[in-house]
Amino acid sequence: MSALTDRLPGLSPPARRLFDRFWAAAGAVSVRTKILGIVLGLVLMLGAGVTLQVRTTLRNALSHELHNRGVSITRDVAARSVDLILVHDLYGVYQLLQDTLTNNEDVRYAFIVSPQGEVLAHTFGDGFPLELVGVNAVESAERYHLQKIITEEGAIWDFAVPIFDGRAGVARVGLSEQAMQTTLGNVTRQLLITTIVVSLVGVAAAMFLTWLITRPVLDLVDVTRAVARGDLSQTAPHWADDEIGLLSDSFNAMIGDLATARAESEAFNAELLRRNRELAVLNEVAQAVSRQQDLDEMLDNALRRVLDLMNLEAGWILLLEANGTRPRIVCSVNIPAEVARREERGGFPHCQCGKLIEERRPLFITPLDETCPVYGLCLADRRVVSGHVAVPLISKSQVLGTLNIACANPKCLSDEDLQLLGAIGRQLGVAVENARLWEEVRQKEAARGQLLEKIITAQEEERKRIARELHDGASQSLTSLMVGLKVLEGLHSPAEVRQHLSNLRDVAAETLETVHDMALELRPSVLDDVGLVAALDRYVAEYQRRFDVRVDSRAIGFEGRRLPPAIETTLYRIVQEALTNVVRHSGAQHASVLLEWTSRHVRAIVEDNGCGFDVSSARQERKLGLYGMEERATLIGGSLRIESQIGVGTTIVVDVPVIEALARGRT
Amino acid sequence: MKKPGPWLGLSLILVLLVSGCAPRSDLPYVQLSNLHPLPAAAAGEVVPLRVAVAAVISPKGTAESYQPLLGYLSRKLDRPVELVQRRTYAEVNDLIERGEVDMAFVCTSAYVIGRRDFGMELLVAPQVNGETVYYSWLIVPAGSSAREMADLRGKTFAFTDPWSSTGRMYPTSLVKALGETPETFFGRTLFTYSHDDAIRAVANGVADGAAVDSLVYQFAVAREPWLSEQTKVIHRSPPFGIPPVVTSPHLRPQVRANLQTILLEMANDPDGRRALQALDVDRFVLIDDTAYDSVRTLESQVGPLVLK
Ligand SMILES: Nc1ncnc2c1ncn2[C@@H]1O[C@H](COP(=O)(O)OP(=O)(O)OP(=O)(O)O)[C@@H](O)[C@H]1O
Ligand SMILES: [Mg+2]
Repeated sequence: MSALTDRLPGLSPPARRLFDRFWAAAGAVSVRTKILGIVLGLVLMLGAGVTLQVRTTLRNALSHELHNRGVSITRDVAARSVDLILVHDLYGVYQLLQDTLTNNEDVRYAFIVSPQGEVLAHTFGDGFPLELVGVNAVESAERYHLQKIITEEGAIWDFAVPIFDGRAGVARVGLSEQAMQTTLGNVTRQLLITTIVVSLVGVAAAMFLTWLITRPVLDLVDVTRAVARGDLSQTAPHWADDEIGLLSDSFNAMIGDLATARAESEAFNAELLRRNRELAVLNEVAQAVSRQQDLDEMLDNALRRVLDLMNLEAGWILLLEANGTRPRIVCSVNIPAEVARREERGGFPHCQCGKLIEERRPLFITPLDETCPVYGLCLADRRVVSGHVAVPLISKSQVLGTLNIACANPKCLSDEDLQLLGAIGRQLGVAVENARLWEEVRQKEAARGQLLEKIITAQEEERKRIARELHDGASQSLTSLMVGLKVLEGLHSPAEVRQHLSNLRDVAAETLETVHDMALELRPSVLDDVGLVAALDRYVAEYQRRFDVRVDSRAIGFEGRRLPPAIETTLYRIVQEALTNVVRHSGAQHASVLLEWTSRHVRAIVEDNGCGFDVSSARQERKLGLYGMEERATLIGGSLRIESQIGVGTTIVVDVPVIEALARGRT
Repeated sequence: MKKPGPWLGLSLILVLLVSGCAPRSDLPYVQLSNLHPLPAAAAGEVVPLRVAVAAVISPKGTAESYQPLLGYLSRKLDRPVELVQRRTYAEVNDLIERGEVDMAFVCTSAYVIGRRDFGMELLVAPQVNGETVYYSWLIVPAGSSAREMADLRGKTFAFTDPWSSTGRMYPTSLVKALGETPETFFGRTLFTYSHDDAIRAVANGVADGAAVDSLVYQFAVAREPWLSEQTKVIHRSPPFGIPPVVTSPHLRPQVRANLQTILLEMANDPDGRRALQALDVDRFVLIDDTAYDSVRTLESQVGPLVLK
C-alpha cells in the first residue's frame, strides 16, 4: 500500500496517512467487494446528489409558484370584492371568499379587513383567530405584502392586498405550504426509492460483473495450481476476447511450451539412459575383448556379456574361416549341440540370415523359415523362439562371422538395440581380425626363424658347393694348368709347346667358363647391365634351353626406364623361384611370364598349366620357396597372391605399388 | 469495512430531510384553531353624514366620482361624510325610509315611488348642460342595421334595472306602442342593474340594444371614448325630470337646510366647482315636484312601479 502512495506524488503526509488507512481497508477485501462498494457508493452518491438538487430546484420552483399564485388569488379576491364591499354586499363577499377557498386547495383561509380594521367577512365559520388580523399589513400604495406565519398546521403564507387602494379595506388570503411540502416529500421519496431500486440493480449488476471478471481469473488460478502440481494437461478456458482472454491464451501457450520442454527433456533423458546402457554394453564387450586370451574364449565371454546385459537367453557366434572353409560355431549359450551342428552344416550363409553378408548390418528375422536351424526351438519356461537376430562381425568391410541371438518375443529388441548390436558386431569383428592377425604374425615369426636357419644352412651348402665346385672344377683345372705349365717348362720343341699351349688354353677356357657359371649363379650381374626385362628374357631363354617347358615372356610399360635395383632383384628372384617351382612341381608344358608397369603398380604374373596344389596346406608345410617369395614381396612393400587349382594350374601374382616401388628405390 | 461512500450519502440525505422540516422560529405564530367571536363595530364618536348612491354606474366608479363631492361636503359640514352604496334602488329607498342614510342620489322613478310611499323629500336637482331634464336613448351596436325599436324584434335587449324610467319604463312603453310586451317582442331580455354595464353589453355585442340614461351615456362616452365607437344612438325620448338629490324624511330640518345651502352654493366656490366637475354637473338647483309628472304619466302607461 505504501507502494501505491509512493506512486502518488504531491500528497501531503496527512492525506497520505488517510489514503493509507483507506487502502488498508479497501485493499484487503476481494475484487467483488471492491466493485460492489464502488457501484453502491456511486449510485448512492448520485441518488443523494440528484435528490438534493431536485429537492432544492423543486422547492424554489414550488415556492415561486406558490408566491405567484398567492399574489394572484389575493389580488383577484381584492378586485372582485371592491364592488361588493362598496355596495355593502357582505354575503357576496363571503361567497367570494368561500369560492376562493373551495376552488384553491392551497388556500387555508381568506378574509377582508375594512379600513377601520373590522373583519368584514372570513372563511373561519364561527369565530375568528383575532391575532391573525395584526400579523400582516399592507400600505395602500403596495401591490401586495407577503408574511409567512407559523401555525399549528404548519407554515402559511399570508398575502395582503389593498382593496380599492385601501379605501375598501384589505384582502387577506393564507396559502398553506402543506401541499408544497407534500409534493416535495413525495418527490424526495420517489427519488429515494428510485435510488434504492437502482442500488439494488447496481448491486446485482456489480455481482454479475464481478462474477464475469473473477470467474475466468479463478479458473486461471485453478489451472496455475494444477500446473504447479505438474499437471500440464489442463488449459485455461478462453471466456472472452478481453485482457483476461489474452492472459489465458498466453498462459495456455506457456503450458504448451512447458509440456514440450518436459517431453523434450524426458526424451533426452531416455536417450541418455539408452546411450548409457549402450556404452555399458560396449564397455563390457570391450573389456571382454581386451583381455589377452584365446579368440574362442574371448568371443564366448563377449556373447555371455551381451546376452546378460540385454536380458536375452540364447545366442551363438559363428566364424567364417579365412581360407573359405565351412563356417564354425565358436561359442553358444542355451543352444543345443545338434542345433549348432545343423547351423554349421546347412545354416549360414544359406539360411535367411545369409543376406547380411551383402547388407552388412544386423538383421531381425521374423517369422522364421522352417529350414532355419533355430525354428521351433524351446527356450526356458517353454517359450518358443520366434525371431533370430543376426549381427555381422565386420572388419575392414569384410564379414568375418555372425553374432546370433534367438528370442521368443518379436519385440525383444528395438531398433536402437539392433544398432547397438551392430556396434558390438563391429567391435567383435575387429577383435576377431586382430586375433587372426596375431595368429598370422605368430606363424610368420616362426617361419622367419626357420627361414633364417635355412638361409644359414643354404649359405653353408652354397659355400660347400662353391668349395666343391672350386675344388672339383676350377682348382682341378687350375691344377692341370699348373701341371701343364710345368710340362711346358720341360718341352723344347715348338710344335710340342704349341700343342701343349693349345691344350692349356682349352683347360683355361673351360675353367673360365666354370668360374663364369658360378658367378652367374651367385649374382645375376646381367640385371645390373641390361635391366630386369632383358635379364629375365635371357633367363627364360636359358630356362627353355635347359628344360622342356615352353615359356611366353612379355613386358609392358618398361620401355626406356628402369626400376630401382632392389625391386628389380626381388622381381627377378620371385620369377626365378616361380619358374623353378613350375619345372620342379607342376609338370606343366607351358608357362607364361608377364611384367607390367602401370601408373599405379608394378606387377609380375607367372602362370602355368600344371597340376596345381592346395595353397593353404602348402603354406602349412612351411617350405621356403613360397614363403621366401612372400617375404621378398613384403620387404619391398608389395604383396604376393597365389591362386592354384588342382589339375588346372597355378598363378603367382606379385603386386608392388608404384609409390612403394619408387620410394624403396630412392632409399 | 467498505468505502465510506454509502454511509456518507445516506447521512447527507438524512440531514437534508431533517433540515427541510426544521421550524423557522423567527416567523409569527398564529393559532388558527383559537377562534373568537368578532367584536361588534365600535360606535363612532362622531356620527358621519351618510350619503347613499344607487349604483347607477359601477360602485367603484360611483365611489370615485362622488369622492370629491363627499370630501367637499365633509369639509363644509366639518363632519365625516360616508358614502353608502347599494346595488338596487329598493335598498337605497329602504335606507332612506328608515333614516339610515341622510341624503341620497336617487333615480327619477325611485323618487316617484319614494315620494308616493314614504314622503321622500326633494333637496336639489343637478343641472347638466343647463338642463334639469334627461332623456332615454335607445342604443344599438355601431354595426347594427336597426333604426328603430321595431327593428329590434326578436333580438336581445338589455334593461338597466326594473325601476329605471329611462332603462326600462321608456323602452317598455315603446314596445307597448307596437302592441307587444317586452316578453313577446324581444327574443331575450336581461338586466344589467347599471347603465354603464348596459352600454358595455351593447358595445360588446352581448345585447343587440338597450335604453340608457342620456346623461350616463354622455358621461361614460366621455370617460371611455371606445364606447362611442362601438355603439350608436337610434332613438331619443321626450325629456324626463332629472334624477334628484333627496333627503330622508327623518333628517333634521337644520341639517337639511344646511345641506341645501351648501349644494346650491357649490358652483360659486372653486372647490365646489371641482367636485361638481367630477360629477359632470353644472350646478345644483332647486326643483319642483312637478318636473316628475312626465314619469308618472309613463308609469300610468307601462304599469305601476314597485320597488322590491
Ligand atoms: N608350379 C607348381 N606346380 C605344382 N606344385 C607346386 C608348384 N610350385 C610349388 N608347388 C608345390 O608347393 C610345394 C612348396 O614349394 P616350395 O617352392 O616352397 O618348396 P620346394 O620347391 O619343394 O623346395 P625349395 O625350398 O627348394 O623351393 C612344392 O613341394 C610343390 O608340391
Ligand atoms: Mg621351390
